[in-house]
Amino acid sequence: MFHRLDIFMKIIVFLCVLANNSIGFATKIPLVDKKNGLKLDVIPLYSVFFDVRKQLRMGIEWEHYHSKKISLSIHLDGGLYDDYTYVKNYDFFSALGSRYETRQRVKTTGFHILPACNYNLTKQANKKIHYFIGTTADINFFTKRIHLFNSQINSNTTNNYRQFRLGIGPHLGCSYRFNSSFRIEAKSILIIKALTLQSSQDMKSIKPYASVWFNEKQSIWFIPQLQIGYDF
Amino acid sequence: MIFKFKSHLLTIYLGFVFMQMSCKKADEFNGDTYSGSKVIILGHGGMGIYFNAPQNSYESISTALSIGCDGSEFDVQITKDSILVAYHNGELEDHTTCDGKISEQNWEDIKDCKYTKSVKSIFLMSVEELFEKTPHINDYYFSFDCKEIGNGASQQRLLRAIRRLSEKYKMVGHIFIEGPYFFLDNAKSLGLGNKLFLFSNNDDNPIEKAKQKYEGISTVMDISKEDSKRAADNNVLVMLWDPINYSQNKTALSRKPDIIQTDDPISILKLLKRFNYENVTP
Repeated sequence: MFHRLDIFMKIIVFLCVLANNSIGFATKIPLVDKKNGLKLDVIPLYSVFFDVRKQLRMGIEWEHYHSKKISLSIHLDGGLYDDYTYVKNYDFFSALGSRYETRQRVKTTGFHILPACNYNLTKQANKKIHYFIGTTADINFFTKRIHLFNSQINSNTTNNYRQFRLGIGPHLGCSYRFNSSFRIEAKSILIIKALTLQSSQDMKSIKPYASVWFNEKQSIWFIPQLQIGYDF
Repeated sequence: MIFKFKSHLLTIYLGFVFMQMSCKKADEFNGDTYSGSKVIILGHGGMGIYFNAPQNSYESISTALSIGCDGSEFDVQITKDSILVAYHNGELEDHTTCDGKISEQNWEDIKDCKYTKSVKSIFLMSVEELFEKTPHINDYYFSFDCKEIGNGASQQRLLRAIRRLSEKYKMVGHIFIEGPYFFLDNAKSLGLGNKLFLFSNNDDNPIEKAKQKYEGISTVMDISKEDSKRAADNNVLVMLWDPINYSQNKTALSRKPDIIQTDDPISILKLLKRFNYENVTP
């Protein structure tokens, strides 16, 4: 999984280098005062291209530059996170030909809201590469529908679950400006869970979908963001 | 400025087209076999050669079962006190902190042998330990690749231990035995009810041979679709081993065998919609 994500990242970086080469090799860009930025997260494309489950999700971010050093941003990632079927076969060699299967259809929809405060570490504002750190909160909500069919007893059961989770943590990132308007930004966010509310105590915790890694207890998760931005 | 903007868009667009071409989504595979059932997916020693836990370890095998494999193949050897142990090589020092052969030692002496190439502390596993720890063990299938089988007497000791274990856990129909014909003949003479799979290496016509005596053949990927069909027509099951990646998994499925042992269980389970996303350990 991480190997494929790595390839995906390399392709994106390769595209950036290509795009940069078409502009030139200057390390500085002219200063133009911009107040806001709008960014599109391309990480969701990873799942679309590399997995067999269906996803239809999008990540967008709005950033307001409060000063040259500080900015506030809010990121929204939402949509259909998971739509897959899991089939399990039983009794393959039954003499009576009674092989049967359970067919589980899982659908998860939801959203992540990620408000953040960013501090720019790069001193010269006209540099092409900027590094920044900050704090991000992750407010996420999911609904999960599991429909189970058992061919042995010809039964259908459906269960619906809901989950709200809140977490907070630090982030580190860098942005690369192509010109005074367009840039690409990579950000790594580490979130530590603060609160979880679930519709049923028996339900299995729904993993944080915008993340690529989470620990077994789902108390810590890591969110990578790779965004193409436009400042205005 | 407009020209530069267009060139950026064109570069990104071409990049995405390239990605779509190189990462075409999986074709539909239904896992049907020539014998009219569905293909059984076994992990090769658990999660295969690329996993972060060694093959034949509990950590590797239990992960394979939790992601949706129908069971696992593993290598089986017997200790001096007749305990079945999952381990591949002849010498313990090849992969563990211990020395010597399994057959020359008691289980108590080797149960704390730790795998050397693993970051985590992973120890040798007895087959009974796996069966004890795995919930719903009777839903799974296991193929025993018997190693260090030795002479007639030691083969019989190994086969008796397999019979005891199969009967104790009511797994006779769920444990397959792979081996050369003389080993399988020994199993027959002892009256084992397990499905026996003849190694097809260096055999001109394994299907013909298996048809008369055994339930199936165990073969590498070079078996043709026609041979696979012929085996099914003769009530001979085909167990295919060797696929190590996505592309080889697809080739293996196209042969329509009854059982596939794979080193890349994740991609084949996803192809067949049998991957259990719920149980993925990060």
